[in-house]
Amino acid sequence: MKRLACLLIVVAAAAWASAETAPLPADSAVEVLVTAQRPDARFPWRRERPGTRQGYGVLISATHVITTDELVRNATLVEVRQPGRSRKWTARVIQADARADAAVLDVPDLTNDAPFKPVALDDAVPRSEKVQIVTFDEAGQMKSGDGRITEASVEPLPDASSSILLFKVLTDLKADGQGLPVFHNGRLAGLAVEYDSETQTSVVVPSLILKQVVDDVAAPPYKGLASAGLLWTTLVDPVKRRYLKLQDDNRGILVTRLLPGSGASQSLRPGDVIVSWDDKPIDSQGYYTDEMYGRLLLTHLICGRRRPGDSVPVAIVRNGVPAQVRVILSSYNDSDALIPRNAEDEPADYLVDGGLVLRELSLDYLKSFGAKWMVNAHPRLVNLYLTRALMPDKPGERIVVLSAVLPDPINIGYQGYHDEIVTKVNGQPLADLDDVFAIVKRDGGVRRLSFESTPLDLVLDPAGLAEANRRLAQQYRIPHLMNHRTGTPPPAP
Amino acid sequence: MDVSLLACLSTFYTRRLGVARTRIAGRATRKSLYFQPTVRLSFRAMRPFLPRQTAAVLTVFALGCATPVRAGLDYVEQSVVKIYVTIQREDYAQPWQAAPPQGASGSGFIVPGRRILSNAHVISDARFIEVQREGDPRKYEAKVLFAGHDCDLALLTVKDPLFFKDTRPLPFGRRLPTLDDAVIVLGYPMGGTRLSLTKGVVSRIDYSLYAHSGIDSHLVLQVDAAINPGNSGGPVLFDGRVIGLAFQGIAGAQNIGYAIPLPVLNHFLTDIADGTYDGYPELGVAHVDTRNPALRADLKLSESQTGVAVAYLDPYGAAAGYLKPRDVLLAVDGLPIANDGSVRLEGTMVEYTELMERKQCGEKIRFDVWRDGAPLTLTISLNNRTDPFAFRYAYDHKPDYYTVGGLVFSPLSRGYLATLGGDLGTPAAQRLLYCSQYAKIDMMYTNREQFVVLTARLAHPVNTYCDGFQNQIVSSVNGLHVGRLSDLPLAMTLATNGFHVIRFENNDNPLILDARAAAAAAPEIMAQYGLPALSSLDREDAP
Repeated sequence: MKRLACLLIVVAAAAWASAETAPLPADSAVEVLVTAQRPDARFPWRRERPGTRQGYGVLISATHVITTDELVRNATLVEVRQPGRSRKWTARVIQADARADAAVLDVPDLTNDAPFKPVALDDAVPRSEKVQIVTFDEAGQMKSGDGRITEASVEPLPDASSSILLFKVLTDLKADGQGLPVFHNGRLAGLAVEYDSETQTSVVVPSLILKQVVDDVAAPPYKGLASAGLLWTTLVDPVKRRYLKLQDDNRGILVTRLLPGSGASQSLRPGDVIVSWDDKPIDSQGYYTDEMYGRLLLTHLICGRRRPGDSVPVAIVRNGVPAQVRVILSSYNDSDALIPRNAEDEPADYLVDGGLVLRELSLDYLKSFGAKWMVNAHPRLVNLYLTRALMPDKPGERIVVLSAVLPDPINIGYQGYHDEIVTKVNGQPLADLDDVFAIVKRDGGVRRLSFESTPLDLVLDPAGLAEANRRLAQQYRIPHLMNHRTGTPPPAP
Repeated sequence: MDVSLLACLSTFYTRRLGVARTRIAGRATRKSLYFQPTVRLSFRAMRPFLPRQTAAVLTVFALGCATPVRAGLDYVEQSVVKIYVTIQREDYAQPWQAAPPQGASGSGFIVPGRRILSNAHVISDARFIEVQREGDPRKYEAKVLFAGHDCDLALLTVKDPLFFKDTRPLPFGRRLPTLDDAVIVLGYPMGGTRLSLTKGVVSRIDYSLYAHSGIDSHLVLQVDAAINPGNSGGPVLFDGRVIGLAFQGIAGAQNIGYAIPLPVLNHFLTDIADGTYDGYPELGVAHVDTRNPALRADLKLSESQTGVAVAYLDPYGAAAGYLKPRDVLLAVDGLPIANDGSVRLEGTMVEYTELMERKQCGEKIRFDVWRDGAPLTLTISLNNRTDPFAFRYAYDHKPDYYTVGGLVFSPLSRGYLATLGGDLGTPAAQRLLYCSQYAKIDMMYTNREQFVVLTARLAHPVNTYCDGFQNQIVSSVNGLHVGRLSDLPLAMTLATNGFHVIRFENNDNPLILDARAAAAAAPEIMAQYGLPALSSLDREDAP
């Protein structure tokens, strides 16, 4: 009996001590108010109706706030305030990273008398650790709750092309808000990006990932999360292992594709078996044992434990023969893809000439065909996305499509064309929309479009083009007949 | 009309297949889904400008079962019959067996020569057919003489001469009706057992998809008389004469019923006169209209010339080898083609392809062509070549398959796509749909006759880790290119070092089987999953 009482006292003392040494840094939390306007993915000169979003962020230095990318995406105005209070400070997004779902805001007018205090990032929170999560009621009153990191695993975020380390935090609080802070020992352990009320679990982007974004902002240039540029598959099947002349040791994964221009494409080949990465043995399902988080996908070794530019040792088996190579990691770049995802919903480059709408194929365009875009978008374009999205034949290659024809007398007879892949403009082959801009600048307009599906070209009357463009801009209320981010600003119609 | 969901429905069966629309820049003579006839194409062209909810999901159902009693119409009781069938569809998911037998009913009417005209979809895959006359309790066993699946028509006969006693063939009309002509529809629809009569008018005469084959389009009569499941095969009468045969409707729409019009009925009856059904000839031309002045100048057309420009030629069409892309079709059989592709025929404007629709295989069609600024007259012999990439629904045909190590391979078919149902949104299924529609246009046909698909894995220790490959298209087996299912038996003899190496299109991850273990497991897999044979290829009726 006496022993039990002692034990209780000891436990109580420990809990009290931990709370004492690390008060909840609640005054680091800010409410982030966003007005956002997405571009129309189908008709890129349009904007959808602006809307407002509300979420949270955390002050990490005198004037910098970290929050989620999703919250500030396509923002036209970002403001921060003390949760529930009236005074607002205008903020500016200085860096957003869709892959890490993180964004750094600059709030230049924050002065010393502002009611916020910055907090440090804790990028080494172990699994099963107790954390605190805070939420705010309408009056701005803080509610804090205890949570526990029940899972640390490499998983994809919605809209992300690849996976990152994510915490699942089981909490006794309804932590339903973008960017709600999760604290550990008085420091920031991560930002909540999703909440599942059924399992009372928050999905949290850990500071380990956030720190990479923050570090790059502090010391430009911005590099983002590292990428190797390889696709792989598991090697569980004993028959396949024997076929590949592998030992029966349940180790290694099979390299299937290497993205053009990537670090991995310099030293690896399709068919190579990766048995260790960065001196960590890789099992047949692609897992390694992380010192802190246990069994994790090797993706974390690339984007969690390393930075772009790092060179890592890789042990492979090539044609049954063991070998050592080095892979130089690089920044993952959506624009390296044949069909970019454009998860950031950037307004697309386009050219409207004679009512022909020319643009590059992107996933956000395909997704503009609705939730069943795979069924509703043009099958040829969907097939291209499913088979070649990441694999341009040469760097910078894109799919240029005639996405629509805006009916006008000049394009009479062509109004049934849409979603056709354009191979030539004015008889000249092209690799991307930049080529189209160059050709059109040289020739003064689109004279002739050639397509992949038919030898019959689409021909426009050059004499009527200028007049038609004026008419089209007016009739369809297109403020700019082109958008060319790297080019000169478009002339007003 | 945007055909994104097609369904065949009669009183007995429902079948759905999501068909992603296929487009080519232009219109086509080809009566297949991958070319959209005028109506659908112009709709598609406007689609990006329409809110999404108007992207109509059209469900066409083919009707399987109607009759009258009115003064002056009593004779029809001697002509309209009810058809009872027991059908058994194929099971494309398990091609070694058929689906459960089902009872069904449709309508038909007596035509000269002791024959009964009905829909092909009423008697397709029938195991047993009986017909019954109004007011006669006896049922007579019937046999199919001819079935035209591309025009959804069938001709039956009854062996017992007693059946035809006191019957009289219905007289055929002499011309297409016009809008607002009052028609009656007779047949045996659901909701009762006796002959039913409904009345209405001709609402529209148009081209439309025939849901039975899934890809063919011909002239249709749209009537507002009620046409319901079971009406299929029943006559549509104007002025006491047959002017159509009720065959399909649109689920969810009201007062829209479709009938196969006289020209199509006559085409079928003429076709079979020689004892075989050849089907409609295929020209295989996709065209773009030449209304645009810049395009006209590019094609060196003078202002007075009218016609359509050839955009694409189907390698399996009759025009392949005669016409070239960029040719302008000025006239067909001496009738000038307008810039939108229409010709004036019997006083009304119709698609120029209607002239071909009225011809039989073996007949000729003459085009006045403008090629590179010079005139040319081409006479094309019409035919209907076996096109492995047409992807019609197949009937009265056992699906092929080949198995090794519990992996089931089948040629891609419309029947198989239909089994995917809700899975059509998956990347692999989407690719199959794409291949079924664009095989020819996107030049995937050159080194193959079929797309061989891994359709199923019959789980067994020999293939435990071979999951994740379902619905992928086989590109090679043991180094041998696979362009048709019958390439597999030879390829499977080429195992090296005891392994079968099966590669799939657009997949760098091969499937590896232990050749000896796969062979050894065959009897067990056959017994466990009830396979009568490992392959259909050594069946007697195999290709």
